[in-house]
Amino acid sequence: MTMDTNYQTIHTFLQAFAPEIGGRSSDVVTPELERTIQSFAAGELSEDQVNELSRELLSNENALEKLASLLKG
Amino acid sequence: MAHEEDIALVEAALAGDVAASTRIRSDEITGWLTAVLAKRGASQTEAQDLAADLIADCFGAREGKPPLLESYNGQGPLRGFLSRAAINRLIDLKRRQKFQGNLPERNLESGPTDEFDLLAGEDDAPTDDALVALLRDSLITAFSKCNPRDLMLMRLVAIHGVRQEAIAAMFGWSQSKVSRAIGGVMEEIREKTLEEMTKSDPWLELEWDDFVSLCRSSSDFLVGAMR
Repeated sequence: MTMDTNYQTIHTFLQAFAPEIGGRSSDVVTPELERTIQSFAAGELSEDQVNELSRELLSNENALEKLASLLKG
Repeated sequence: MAHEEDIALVEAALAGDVAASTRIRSDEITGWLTAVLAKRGASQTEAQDLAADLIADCFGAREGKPPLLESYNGQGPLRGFLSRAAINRLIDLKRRQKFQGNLPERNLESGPTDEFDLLAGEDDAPTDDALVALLRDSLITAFSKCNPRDLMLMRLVAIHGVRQEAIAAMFGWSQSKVSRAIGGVMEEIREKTLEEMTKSDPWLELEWDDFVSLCRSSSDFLVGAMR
């Protein structure tokens, strides 16, 4: 069992039974959050800002998807 | 992925097919379930009793409940369904034993953290599933102790398919640093989750692979599409 597969299994479980941790797909991405994500993808955030944003992204699946799209080009 | 052979077996057994129900009631299945439970911390007597009750409940449950097999949705193997249900009942039993042992010393009107609140109900409904609660609570606590940035990176890679090179470029890191961050957080999740589980139910003997497998079967059988 690979690390990715184990994580995917846990992620699926958390999305079903603890969406506050697994990431809610109903949360909106505000224009301000979108700007912060763009700054992050451009490598412009400090370590503290990255940690703060990471917490927000972990609970907001739409925002994380936005970041993933930027990184995948 | 639907397990067609197991679905056919369960449907035949529920329809009264003697050969099908005999296969499910077999000594081989009961013995296997007993071994599953004993390996996870049940005494031999507890394991035998729980396995026998579970097999009996597969067909005609007590107290007017429907046969347990009716809730098998075919989203995982039948053995996975049975072992998940058995471990769930074992957790429930052990917590009841602990609660009964502590009863004289406990104030039942105390806050929501007393042991009574840890007890699941009698049935296997998802809303009061002791196993799901244990897996979920252990993971929530473990995740809260992990580095949020590294957790987020893990999710970008494993769930969203972002390449490690792209993350490395964003941070100005080497790819090996990204790989170490992700590997490190996964190890942290494993370690802290098992630690939390042991705090909650020290008698329970689960390896990490068991834990992940129970997460999978819980998602498959409690969330997966019904037949």
